[in-house]
Amino acid sequence: MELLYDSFVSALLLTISLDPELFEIVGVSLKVSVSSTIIATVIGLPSGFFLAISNFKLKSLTITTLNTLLALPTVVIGLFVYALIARNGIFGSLDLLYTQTAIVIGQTILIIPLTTTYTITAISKIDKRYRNTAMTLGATPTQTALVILREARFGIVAAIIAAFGRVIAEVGIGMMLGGNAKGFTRTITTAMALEYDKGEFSLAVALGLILLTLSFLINMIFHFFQGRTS
Amino acid sequence: MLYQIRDMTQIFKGKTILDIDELIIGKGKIYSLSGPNGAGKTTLLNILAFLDKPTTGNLSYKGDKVRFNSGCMGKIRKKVVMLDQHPIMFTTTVLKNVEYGLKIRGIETSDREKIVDETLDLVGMSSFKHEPANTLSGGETQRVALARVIAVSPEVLICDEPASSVDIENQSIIMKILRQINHEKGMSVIFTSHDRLQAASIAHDTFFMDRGKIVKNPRENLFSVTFSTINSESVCIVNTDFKFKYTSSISGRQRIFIDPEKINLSFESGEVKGRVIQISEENDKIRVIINLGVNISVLIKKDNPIFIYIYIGEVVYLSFPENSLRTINY
Repeated sequence: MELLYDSFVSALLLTISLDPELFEIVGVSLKVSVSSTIIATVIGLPSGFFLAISNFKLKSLTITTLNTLLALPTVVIGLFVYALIARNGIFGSLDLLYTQTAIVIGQTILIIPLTTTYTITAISKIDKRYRNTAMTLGATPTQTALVILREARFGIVAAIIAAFGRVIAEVGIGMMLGGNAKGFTRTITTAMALEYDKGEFSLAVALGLILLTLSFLINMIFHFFQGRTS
Repeated sequence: MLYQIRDMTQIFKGKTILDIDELIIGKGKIYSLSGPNGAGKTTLLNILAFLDKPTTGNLSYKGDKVRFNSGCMGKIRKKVVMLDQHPIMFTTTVLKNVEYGLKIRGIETSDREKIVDETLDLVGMSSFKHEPANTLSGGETQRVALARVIAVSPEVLICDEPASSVDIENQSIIMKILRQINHEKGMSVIFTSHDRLQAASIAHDTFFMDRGKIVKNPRENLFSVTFSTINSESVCIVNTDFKFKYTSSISGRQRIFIDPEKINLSFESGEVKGRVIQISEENDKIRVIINLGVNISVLIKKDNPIFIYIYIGEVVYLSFPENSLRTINY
């Protein structure tokens, strides 16, 4: 109990004193997480929109596959991307292993199924009368799509927030593809794992507190948008 | 001529829900479309609004064949606007809803504001201009939705049950607006209605639909009857109180339509006796509803001398000339 109390006090002091190492780690985490969330949104949003509004033979199978991929373990993605970008891999010449780009690639693969399936759900929930109303008022297919996206905006924002929440807290990809290099690829979660291994709990607890605060804020925003959608 | 439909069908999941041989709709008029639930009214309206493509057949708009999958649909769709039975508002203000159609037509902001003000004034919703549209009541939503479609000044306004989900006050306001825009702007109006009297009060012409087909004239006086021979005379039996002689070779169970304009009405004699239960004015005619065990509608001209003496509760006699009756085959 004393250990936890001491760690907690030290963590608070680290946070209050704006410890450079602590904020460097948080900075890297936010940078890679925001990047992967943006890329996954750019890919997942139009894909989800297309899957929601179109009818094709393999639609059901595609959605089932995407739902299955939601449960894909991060270590599997880490291993898969490692095989591709390692020196002897197909993309080995690009020298991506143990870089922030490698983490972004892995995290993007992790959350594309999430942004896509959440977009499908958000679009499918939208009343079909919005489409007909826009069309009958003279909207082009693009303008009609924008109307639907606008009406589904809260659901889509919730999808983006959920995706960000998933990557900010993941550890497997960061460790396997980033290598946990100090000041370069060390993220909140990988730093916490390292500090635990070293028996240095102060920084680990401080990072844990920041991660918890971030998660709390993300969940608050997520529930706000979920509430607006329903 | 505004629309021409030929040999059109709409098939959904193997079921034919629309089957029209020919239908011509003129320009600048108000048409009402009546019929029971599931008759295919909304399906037809969606095709006339170019929102749905028919399974087979041809649709012409102002003499040009409509090609549903071609790139020119956007242009033609801007000329015809449909008001849904239960309209939905975009989740923004009343102003943004009404100006949407104008905005996508590239109309200048100052002109847009002027048109929005005019149309909201027309439907009596000016004071709601900056209100969130999703907080409006059913009647208010219907009126704002009407303003939204009128604002774009379409050539044709198609309304699916425009007054079915609103109170009586809003019903009469909506009907008045439809008549006003047809009269002042020359906008053609096609609307569906379950209320025959309400439809007849503003429509220049009425179509009746049943089981996906356009049925000529019979929006009323449809009966399932038995043609039988009693004492070597052919008799058409509707019920025990309502039967009359009919010299024809028809026999057995049939569905018939009795033309309300061809029924003879008298105070002295006739084949069946009934009581007047409703009298209403319809353009240059008077509609009299008579109870014969079932209700039957009779249309008489205002210059018919009998018009002066008819009162509710009066006992009258009806006779049915040969040409007043028609069998209906689907």
